[in-house]
Amino acid sequence: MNDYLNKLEKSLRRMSANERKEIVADYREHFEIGLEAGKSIEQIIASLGDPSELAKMYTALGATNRAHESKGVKDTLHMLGAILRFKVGGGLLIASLYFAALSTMLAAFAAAVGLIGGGLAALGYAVYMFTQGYIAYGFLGIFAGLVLSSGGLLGFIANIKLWKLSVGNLTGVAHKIMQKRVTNNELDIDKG
Amino acid sequence: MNTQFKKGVLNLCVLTLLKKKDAYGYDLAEKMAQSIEIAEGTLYPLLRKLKLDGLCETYLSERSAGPPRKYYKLTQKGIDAQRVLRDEWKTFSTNVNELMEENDDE
Repeated sequence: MNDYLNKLEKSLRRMSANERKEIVADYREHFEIGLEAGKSIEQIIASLGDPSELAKMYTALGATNRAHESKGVKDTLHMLGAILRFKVGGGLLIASLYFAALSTMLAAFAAAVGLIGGGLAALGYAVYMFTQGYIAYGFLGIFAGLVLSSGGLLGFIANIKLWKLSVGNLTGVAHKIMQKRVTNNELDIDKG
Repeated sequence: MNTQFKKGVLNLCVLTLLKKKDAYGYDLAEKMAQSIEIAEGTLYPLLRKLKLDGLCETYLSERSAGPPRKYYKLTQKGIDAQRVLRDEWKTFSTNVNELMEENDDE
């Protein structure tokens, strides 16, 4: 029994300590009730099925739910890893879309930061021109600086919204696919 | 028994058992294994998913002897989900049976 539970716990290393504890406790309870009912350890192990197969299920399920809750890049990458590893249908498509969205968004953020940087440089230029007495150039610099940096700021804010829309929604879509496919279709439920 | 058949009705079976009465994992696993021959261990990921989806809840029930057992109880959402799945299953199985009767001469 302990061998089985240890193997299960080891295979669950990607889950949080809390989840791991809960899951192992479920199987421990199953063993205890089975033994009380007069079954042998061997019988119970045979009827439960391969612990590493079970762990795959939990890992995929756990990764999906964490990603859905946080929508963070790191958790989502974990989930995509799980989708690809367990060959869930549509996994490759979702992963490519996600990476496309991710790289587009990173480029858009870089552009916005570039605009803000350009605007700040123009403001610096304006200050320099004022100190040198070139009032007209100074005003030109202020104008250019304000346009560039406000444009960059607006772009940045828009990017955050876009990020939530694209990357966040893709996470949701991936989550739905995982929910539908993993438990019902990809899990090896048959007796070994 | 055909694995694809089983996969389609797993949720319906568990939800139906739980609709009748609250149960602990072992009990559900035994019943499921008897009627549709699944590896009993796969029931626990399924129960965990039902809980994460808000279709059931768990509570610990103390016993006079031995450690408490974890019971599963359907939520209203779970009861509704069972009803939808049950109706779909009834329509589906009736249609398949009719098709078989009309066309399978054996």
